[in-house]
Amino acid sequence: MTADQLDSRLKSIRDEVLAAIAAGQSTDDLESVRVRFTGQKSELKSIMGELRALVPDEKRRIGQLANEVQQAVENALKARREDLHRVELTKRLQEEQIDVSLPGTGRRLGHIHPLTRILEEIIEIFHGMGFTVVDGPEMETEYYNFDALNTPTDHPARDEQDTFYTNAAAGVLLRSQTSTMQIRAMEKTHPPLRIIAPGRVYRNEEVNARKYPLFHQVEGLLIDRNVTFGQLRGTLEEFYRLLFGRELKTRFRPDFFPFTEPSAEADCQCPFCLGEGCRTCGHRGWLEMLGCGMVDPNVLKSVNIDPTVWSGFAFGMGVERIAMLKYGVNDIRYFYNNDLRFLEQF
Amino acid sequence: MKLSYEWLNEFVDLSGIGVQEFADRLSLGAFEVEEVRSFGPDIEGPVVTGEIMEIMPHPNADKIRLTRTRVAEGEEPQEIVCGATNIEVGQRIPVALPGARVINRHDGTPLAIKQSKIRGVVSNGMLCSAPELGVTGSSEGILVLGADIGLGLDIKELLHLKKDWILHVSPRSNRGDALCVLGLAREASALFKRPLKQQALAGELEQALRNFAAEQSDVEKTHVAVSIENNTDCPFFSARVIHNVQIGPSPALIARRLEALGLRPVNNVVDITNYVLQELGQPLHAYDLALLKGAVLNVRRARGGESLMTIDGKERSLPEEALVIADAGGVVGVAGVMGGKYSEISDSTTTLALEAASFNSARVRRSSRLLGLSSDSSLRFERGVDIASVQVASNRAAYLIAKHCGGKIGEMSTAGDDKVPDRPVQMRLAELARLAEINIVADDVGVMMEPLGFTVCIHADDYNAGIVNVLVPSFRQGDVSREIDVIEEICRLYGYDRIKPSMPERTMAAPPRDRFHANIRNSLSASGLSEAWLSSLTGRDDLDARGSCKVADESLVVSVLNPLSPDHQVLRQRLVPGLLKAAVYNQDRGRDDVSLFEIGRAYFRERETKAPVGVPDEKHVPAREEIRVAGIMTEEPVMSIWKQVASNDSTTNFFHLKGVVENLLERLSISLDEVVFEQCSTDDWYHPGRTCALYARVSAPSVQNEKPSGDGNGDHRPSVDNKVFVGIMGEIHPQVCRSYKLKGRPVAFELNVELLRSLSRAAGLRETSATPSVIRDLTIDLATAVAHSSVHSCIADAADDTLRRIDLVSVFDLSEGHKSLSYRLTLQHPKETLTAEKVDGTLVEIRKALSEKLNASFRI
Ligand SMILES: [Zn+2]
Repeated sequence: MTADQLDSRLKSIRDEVLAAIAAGQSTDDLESVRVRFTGQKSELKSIMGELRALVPDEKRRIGQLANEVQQAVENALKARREDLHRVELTKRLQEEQIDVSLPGTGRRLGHIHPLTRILEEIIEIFHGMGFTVVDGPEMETEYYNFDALNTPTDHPARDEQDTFYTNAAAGVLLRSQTSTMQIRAMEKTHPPLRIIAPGRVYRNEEVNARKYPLFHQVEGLLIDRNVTFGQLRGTLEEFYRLLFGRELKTRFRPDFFPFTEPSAEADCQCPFCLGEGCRTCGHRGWLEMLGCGMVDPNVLKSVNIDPTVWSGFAFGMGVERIAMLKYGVNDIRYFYNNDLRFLEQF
Repeated sequence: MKLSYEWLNEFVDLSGIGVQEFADRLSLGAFEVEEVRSFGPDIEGPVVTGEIMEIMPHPNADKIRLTRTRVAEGEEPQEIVCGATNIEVGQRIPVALPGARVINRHDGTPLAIKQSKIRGVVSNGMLCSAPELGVTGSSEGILVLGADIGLGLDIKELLHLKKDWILHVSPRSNRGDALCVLGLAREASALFKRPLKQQALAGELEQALRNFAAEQSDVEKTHVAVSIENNTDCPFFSARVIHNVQIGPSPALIARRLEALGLRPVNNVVDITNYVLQELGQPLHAYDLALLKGAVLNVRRARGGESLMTIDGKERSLPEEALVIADAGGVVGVAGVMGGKYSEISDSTTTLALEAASFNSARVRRSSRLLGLSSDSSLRFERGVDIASVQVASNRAAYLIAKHCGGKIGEMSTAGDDKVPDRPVQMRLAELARLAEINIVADDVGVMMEPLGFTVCIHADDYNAGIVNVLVPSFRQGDVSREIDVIEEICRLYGYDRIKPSMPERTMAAPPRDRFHANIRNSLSASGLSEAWLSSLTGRDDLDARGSCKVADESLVVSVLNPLSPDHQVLRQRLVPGLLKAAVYNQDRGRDDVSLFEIGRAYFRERETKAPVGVPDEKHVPAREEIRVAGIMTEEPVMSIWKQVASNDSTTNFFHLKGVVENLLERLSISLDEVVFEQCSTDDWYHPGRTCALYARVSAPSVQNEKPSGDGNGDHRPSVDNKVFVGIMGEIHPQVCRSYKLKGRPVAFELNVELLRSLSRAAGLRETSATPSVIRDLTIDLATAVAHSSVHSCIADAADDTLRRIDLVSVFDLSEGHKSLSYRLTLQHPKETLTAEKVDGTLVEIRKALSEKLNASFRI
C-alpha cells in the first residue's frame, strides 16, 4: 500500500477500534477488541510491517501516525475498562447487600461482680493516697481477732459480734473483722505504714435482707509520727469525694470500738439528695459509712510500737453496705444468689 | 433503749430545746438517736371527771340510754346520751364536754365533741371509754374511775395523758451507765450546759425514807438473811423487807411512763421496780417473802440438775455456769436475768423482799447466753451497773412502794461491799493537742467533764505542767481508766465537728498493685464467664455432692462449732459446688446458658496442729486457705446462635472450656509448654472419661518447693514425678448433676491461683526470624486409643530444632478402632533457608518415629 493508503487505513482502523471499544459492554468484550485490533495477527501489526517499504520521510510520518493510533486505542481501552469496572463493582456491591440488623455472632462477654467493682474503686482511691494493699487469713486465732485488739476475754464486744468458732483448734475462729490485719501488718512492718486490707469476715447471724453470715470489709490503717484525729477526718473526706465524685460534708459521731480511741462513726452527706433527705439515706440526709478512730495505745503496745512516739488512725467499712448504697441494691442476698439477671447489669 | 423526753426533763430542765434538736445533739455528742416518735393521745379541751346522777331510757332508741351527769358538786346535771352497758348511777367517769377533742375509738382519728341531737334528744357531751382517751384498758364500756375522785378534775392531769416524745437511743457495750434516764440526763447536762436536778431528788428521797423508818417501830423487825458464795460473781447483794403492801394497779404516772416505753404495767410493786430500772439503771427484783423458804437469799452457781420456772412461765434447766439466787428450798431466780415464777409478787402478797445487787457482767452474760434468755435486767448487767448506786436504787424503790402501795419499810440486809473509791486519772493537755489538735486550758476540762460526774482537780504544780487530774466516779470506772479515755470524753464534748480536717503530712507512694487476680477476671469475662461471689460457708451436703461423692478425708474439714443454720456449717473444700448451685438457681429461673466463675478460697485443717518452732500457740492456726479460680459452663457463651452450625457433638462444651482455660493461662503469661493436661478419671465429681488434670512441669524452684496439696480434690491426684498438680477441668459427673438437679452437660474447672502465679513468666522478646518457613501436612492413621498428646510429643521429640509449630488440623474416626489425625507442621531455620531435601529428611525421621513408637501408618 502507498503511504497515503496506509494513512487513511490507519485512520479508519482508529475510528473502527474506538467505536468498538465504546460499544464494549464487558471487560471480556474489550479483551477481544484488544486482541482483534492490536494483537500479533491484527491489521495494525501488519501495517507496522509494511512501513519498512516506505521512503524515510513517509516512514517517519506513517510510523508516527501508527504510534498515535496505537496510543489512542490503549488509552481508550484503559478508560473504557475503568468505566466498566466501576459499573460492574457497583452492580456487585448492590447484589451483595446484607441485613446488617442481624445480631453479631461473637462470644458474649462475662460481667464483673458488683462487689469486685466497688472494691476496686475503694482500693484504687486509697492506693492513690499511698496505702498498700495487704491480704490475710480468714481463719484466725482469738489473739488476732480480739486479744491484740484490746478486747480481752470478758469484753462485751466479744459477744456482740457473735463469732463463729471452728474445730481447727481451741480458739480458732472465722475472723469477725478485718481489723486482724492491723495487727498482722504492724507485726510485719515498722511505722510509718499505710495499709488497706480488703477481705471476707463472718458473723453468726440469721440471713435476711440486711444480714448474711459472711460479708466483706475494707480495713485501713495509718501509723506515723504526729497523726491526728483531724487527719483521719481529712482522709475520709477525700475518700468520700472520690467515691461519689463530688465534694461532700462529713460528720463524726461518737462510737465505741475496743481498738480505737477516740472512736467515731464517720457519716457522709448523702450524695443522692445532698442532705435534703431521700429514700437511700432514710430521709436523714446522711449516710452511715464506716467506723473509725485513733489507734488505741494498748493496740500499739501489743505489737511493740511506742505510743508516745507513734500515733495512728484506723477505719473499717462494709463493702456490701457501700455497694448497696452506691448501686441502689436493697437486699444483701442479691450479691450471693449470683442471678445472671442481676450480675449482667454490672 | 427508749427514753421519754418528758421524764428526762424531770432530771434536767431542757425547756426551750426542741426534741429534734436534742436528738441531733445527743447523736453527735454521745449516743445515736435512731428514732424520735411522739407518744400520747391528742386530747384537747374540757375533758373532766363527772358523776352519773341518773340513768333513763332513751325515748326513741333501745340500745342507747340517757344519763344525767354532773361535773361539779352542787351543779345541775347535764343530759348526756350513752350507748355503753356498764354504766351505773353514782359512777365517776370521764366526761368530754362540748369543745373537747378525743379519739374516735373505731379508727383512731380525732373526734370533736359538740352539743348535738342524738335520735331527737340533745346530748351535752360524751362519756368516754379508755380508747377514746388513748389509754390502755378495756375497750368495752365507759372508763370507770375511783369513787373517791373529785369532780371537774382535768382528766389529762389525772391520767397523766401528757404529750411526750420517745427517743430510741442506741446503747453502747461499754456504757451501761447511760441505759437510764439519769445517765442520759448527765449527758444532756454536759452537752447543753444545764444543771442536773438529781441532787434535789436525792434529798427529798432521804427525808422520806427517814420519815417512813420513824413510823415503823410497831412493825416486826424481820429481815432476810443474805449471803454470797463468790464475791467475783457478785460483789454486793442487798435485800430489804417491806411490810403491809397492798398489791393493785400502779399510779397513773408510773403506768403511763412504762406504757410510753412499751412496757406493759403488771402491778404496782413490779411496775415500781421496772420504773426504777428505767430511771436509775439498777435492776431490782421483788419476792413474795411468804414464799421464800427460810427467809434466806443466797447467791451461788447453779448445781447439777437444778431447774427453775422463770416468770415467763418456762421451765428451764440451769447450767452449772449460771449464777442463781436460792432460798433454803432451792433456786428462786437467775441472778440478773429473771426471777422465778413461784416466788413472784401476786395479788395476795403482803410482805416482800426487794433485791438490789451488783452481779459480774461477764457472769450475767454467760447465764443469759446459756439459757437463751435476755431481759431488761440482763441487758443492763451485761454492760455494767454502778455498784455504788445499788442502795440508792433500792431506797428509791422502797420510797415509791411505801408511797404508792401502802407499804412500811423494814430492814435492809447486805452482803459484800459496795464502796468504790474514786479513781484518779492524769491527763496531759499536750497529749490532747498531739492527738486531737484541741488546745484548751485546764479549767475548760472541769467545765466540760463535771456535769458527767467527774471531779477535776488541778494542783498548782500540775497547772503549769499542763496536767489535769480527773477523778472518775464509780459508774464510769468501767470505761474510763486511762488518759486516752479522758481524751475521748473531751473530744466528744468539745465536738468532733469542731476538729478541722487535714491530710497526713507525709507523702508516701504505695507499690504498684498486684494485677494477677484482675488478669484472671479480665480473661474469663472476655471468654464469656460472669463473676460470681459464693458463700464459703456451706452445708455438709456440699462436701459429698449430696451423697454422690466421697469425702476424701473428714479430718481435714473445717467446721464451725456453733452454726445457726445447716446451710452454713462447714468451710468449703471446693468452689465448684457453689457454682453448680448458682447454675441451678439460674436454670430454675429460665436461664439455660450459665457461665460463671469465681476467685475464692478453699479451707483445710492441717493434720499437724502444733505450732512450728518460734510461733506462739496464740498466733498459730492449724489450718490452710488455698486461693482458687473455678468456672462452670452449661453452654457455649455465644452472643447469638443464628449463625451456628447445629452440632450434636456432646464434647463441644469440654473443648470450648479447655480453650477458655488455655486462653487464661496465656493471659497469665504461662506458656502452654509449661503445663500438661492429663486424662484423669479418679475425681468422682467429674466424668471419668471426660476430665483432665492440669499439671505444671517442674522447672522453676518456686514450684519445686510447693508440696502438692492433694487434700482438696479428693484422692484422685496421682503423685507424678516432676509435675505439680495445678487443678482439674472436665465434664461434671452425670450423677452429681442429678443430685443438684442440674440440666445439660455442664463443664467446670478449678485451679490453684498461687500455683498459677508461680508459673507466670514475665514476657521476654524472642527475635523474629527473617528466613522463610516451610509448611508440610501430615496425616497419620493410628489406633483410637492413642492420645493426641502422645502423637504430639512423639513428633516433637523426633524432629530437629527446625520444627516450630505442630497444629492439629483434623480428627476423623475410621472403622475398626482406628482414627486419622492430620497435622500441619511449620518448619523454619533461624538463619538459613531450608532446602526441600532437609525438610524431607526431617519428615522421614518423624514418620519413622511415629510408626515405630505408635504403630502409625501414613497416607500419601
Ligand atoms: Zn439522701
